Amino acid sequence: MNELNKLYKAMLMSWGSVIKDDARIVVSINGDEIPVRIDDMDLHLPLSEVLDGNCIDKVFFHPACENVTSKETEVFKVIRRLSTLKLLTTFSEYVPIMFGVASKNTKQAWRQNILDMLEPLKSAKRVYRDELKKLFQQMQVEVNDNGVDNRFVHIKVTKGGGRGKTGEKVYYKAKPVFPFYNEIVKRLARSEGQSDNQTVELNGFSVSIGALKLAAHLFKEILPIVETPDDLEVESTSQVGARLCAYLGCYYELAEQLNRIQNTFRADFDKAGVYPIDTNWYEHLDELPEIYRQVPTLDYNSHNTQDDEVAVSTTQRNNQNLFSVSGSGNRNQNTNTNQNQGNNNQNNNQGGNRQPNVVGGNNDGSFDTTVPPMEYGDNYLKTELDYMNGHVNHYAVNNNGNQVIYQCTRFGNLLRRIESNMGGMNNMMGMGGMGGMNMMGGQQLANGMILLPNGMTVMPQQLQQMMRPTTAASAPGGNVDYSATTF
Amino acid sequence: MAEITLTKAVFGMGNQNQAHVHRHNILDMSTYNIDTVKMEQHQGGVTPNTLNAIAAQSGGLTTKPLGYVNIEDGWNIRRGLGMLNFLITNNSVETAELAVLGYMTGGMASHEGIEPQTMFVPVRCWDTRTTQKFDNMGLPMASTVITGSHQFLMGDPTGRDDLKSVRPIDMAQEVLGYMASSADGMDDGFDGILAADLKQNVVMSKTDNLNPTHHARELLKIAAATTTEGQYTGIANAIGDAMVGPGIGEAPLTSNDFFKTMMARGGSFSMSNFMGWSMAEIHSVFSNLPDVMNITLLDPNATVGVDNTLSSHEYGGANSYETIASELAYLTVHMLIRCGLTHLVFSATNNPHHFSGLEGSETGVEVVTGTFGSVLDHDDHAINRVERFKDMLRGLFFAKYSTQFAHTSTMLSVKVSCHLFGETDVSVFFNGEENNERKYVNATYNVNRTSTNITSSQAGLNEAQNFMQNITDYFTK
Repeated sequence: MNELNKLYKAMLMSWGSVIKDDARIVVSINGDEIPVRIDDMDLHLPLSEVLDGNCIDKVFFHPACENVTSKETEVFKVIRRLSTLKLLTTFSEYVPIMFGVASKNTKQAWRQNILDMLEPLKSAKRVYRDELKKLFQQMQVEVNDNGVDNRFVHIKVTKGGGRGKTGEKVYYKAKPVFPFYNEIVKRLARSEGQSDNQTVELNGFSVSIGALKLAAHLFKEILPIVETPDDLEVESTSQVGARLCAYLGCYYELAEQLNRIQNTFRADFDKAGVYPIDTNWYEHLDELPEIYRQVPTLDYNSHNTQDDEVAVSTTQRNNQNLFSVSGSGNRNQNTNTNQNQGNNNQNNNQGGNRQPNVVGGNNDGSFDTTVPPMEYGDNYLKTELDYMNGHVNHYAVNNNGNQVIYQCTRFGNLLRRIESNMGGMNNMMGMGGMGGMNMMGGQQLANGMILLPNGMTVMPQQLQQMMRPTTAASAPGGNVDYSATTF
Repeated sequence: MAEITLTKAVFGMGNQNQAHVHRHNILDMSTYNIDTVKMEQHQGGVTPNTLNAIAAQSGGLTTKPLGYVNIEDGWNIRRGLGMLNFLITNNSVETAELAVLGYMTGGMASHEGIEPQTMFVPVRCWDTRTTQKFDNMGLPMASTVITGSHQFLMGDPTGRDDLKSVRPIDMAQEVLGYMASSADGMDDGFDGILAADLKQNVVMSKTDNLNPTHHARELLKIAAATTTEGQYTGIANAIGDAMVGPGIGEAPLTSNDFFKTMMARGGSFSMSNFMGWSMAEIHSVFSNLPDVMNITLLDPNATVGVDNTLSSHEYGGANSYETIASELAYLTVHMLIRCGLTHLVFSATNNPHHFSGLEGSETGVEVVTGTFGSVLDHDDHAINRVERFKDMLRGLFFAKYSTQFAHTSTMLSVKVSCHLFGETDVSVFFNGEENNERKYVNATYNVNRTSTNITSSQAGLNEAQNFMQNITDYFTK
């Protein structure tokens, strides 16, 4: 294993991942091993032996080769999830231990600051503690489906620019944001003066002010940086893996801060089996410019395969698919979500009604409902707005009594004409099937190709094209084989 | 009206090969290079020199293969190959020759001829033009130049994979198309441009596109244009303007005289699901086919078959050996045509230990050539073509691997036997480790399926498209 893979392995292991014998990366949560997948391919460590073998259905973990122009790559999103999940679980494990410490007798050696830390915990009422437990369970790794931001921590990485403290060019900057803690503080500030047993709403979760105060206290004591997150801005001047270095620099500081409090109460943490987050690999990050070429540039690592904003909302929910990233392949699905985000505002104005709306009520003017010119024989019926896809559907009926939809963009440009011909369907099938081929005297071969009498083999689609003049001559008007199969 | 005459139809056999994989051209610039471009941009514009140097260092192939290439009858068979030569007469002073190379599928052949239902699948073509001139003594002389060479990119013959072409112009059009449809509020409706959809089309791709440096340079030019011109006219307009440049332009299929004639006489104008033309069809258009046909070599017993699956490495890995071997296999074909050679055997290295350091070579790259052949009959200047080939090899291939510092160079040695129509063997080893040599064989007569301008995955296409957007963002913001 080369130095780069050793670094990757240490990094991944410290986030609770397991590297299987075949270099597959799985995440171990409470004993369950969850595979990490991108576009339905398993994530692997880029060991030379694995790269030498068949790599067609594999994705590799090689974040150091990320191009500086790229948006966050799919592999980087995995890093984000794994590392913030580690911070979140570690923080959650601390809470019962801290209460345990506080409930014991005061030690002589403790200085005033430790006493200050433990005092509110010691005096905390049982009911607040129970509430606190539930409150902390609300914390998540990512913004959830409904757009509620209960993230424990988010490490914000921004493009740098300018010169850093050392005078070198800064490529990326990273600093932490604590959305959940910020929400708690906001709630507390708004309900100042109210009694502790008053309940307030925190992102849709009812909680008493007493529990909130306790939560804020714990945050401040365990992770003091929550009060001044700007102090933790990490700048990356490395040309190699600039985003990665900035992000991990920030992660390292957070992990170290979490580790610090363990040393104060070492014995208690030992008893609970909670040990510091392993950050020993961090010092090797400096070697990245020398070692990153040990593995060649790989896709899903060098450039992003989908749009940045969309990614956050499409995946996640439960642990099973938390680690499955969809890079592409379903551009439609991804951009649909994008559309939905765009349409949220409109829907809010309309009382959150997400169903397609009949025009005449609530078109707010952002949809052009002009009826497009229709084909001869199509009689216009009605117009509906499709907010989900940002389309305008114009319904009509054609001569045969079938429904026709003219689908337009919200700017009024015709996308497609959809005709649902229930009646004529079976007959059409007859034409496309064997009936049509016999007319040409062709034989269908085992591989689906058709052998014509002149010795030519063609695809069925080609045959249909070739046949078009013949059929048109025999019965003008389109539905040719009406006669052949119906009568 | 130009007249087209079939002058020669030679057929032969290929060998058994490993299954090939899809790899496409990419541009991956180092941070240092991006800073350089940005800096020059601020100073008023990127110089062509910088652009070329950076393109040579940044172009390459995807390391990870995107999937196996599907082909009629699979890879592990000996395949019939054919070359059709046409004479195109426009006027008395100028004659053009067109050579179309292809392979055969779905029929039998004997010494009496080829079965009429056998399909001829066109793979690549080139034109030469002979002009009657007078030299400086006033004596008549003929001057012959190669005016163009193309591959015909085709969709998956099995219909399983959705293949798209990713020539530089396709990528620019993708970005434009995406920008247009998102401005129209239908981001989800954009499903790629039709011209790049190989299910619907046969796409002509010029041989330059097999050169990753060319690919990189064309994309860089567009990206650079968005920041200078784009500041005044808007990015979409700048991309549009950059797309009419000479380097990025592509010829339409109908500009190929063979395709044009076959389509016109055969009455088929749709190239959707094109599977090739049967010998009977070609015969019906060029009735002298039996007279000019040479099929002595279209016989498995005429030549000894080589089972390359036994002697070469499998494709499918994501290591430097395979990437470099593939890159070189496609690149040498481009260089052969550029130089007017049909085949060449050479070995080359940038490892100073092999040529006693700087004293041994001025350029830091040593190339030793073996047998070669010219595309022209009776070519007196073939040796000059080989010299040109050597220069191109240094500039397009080794420039990327030998940096100005010995400690950052990739020391590699290659042995290549390349054929315009046949297999190209590439053996690679690094750092002088001759015992770790690996040999890969690329069937150059299947480049219509394997070309580096075809991508098999949506991810590849998105990545390409995002790349353009990202680099534009990076330069403008």
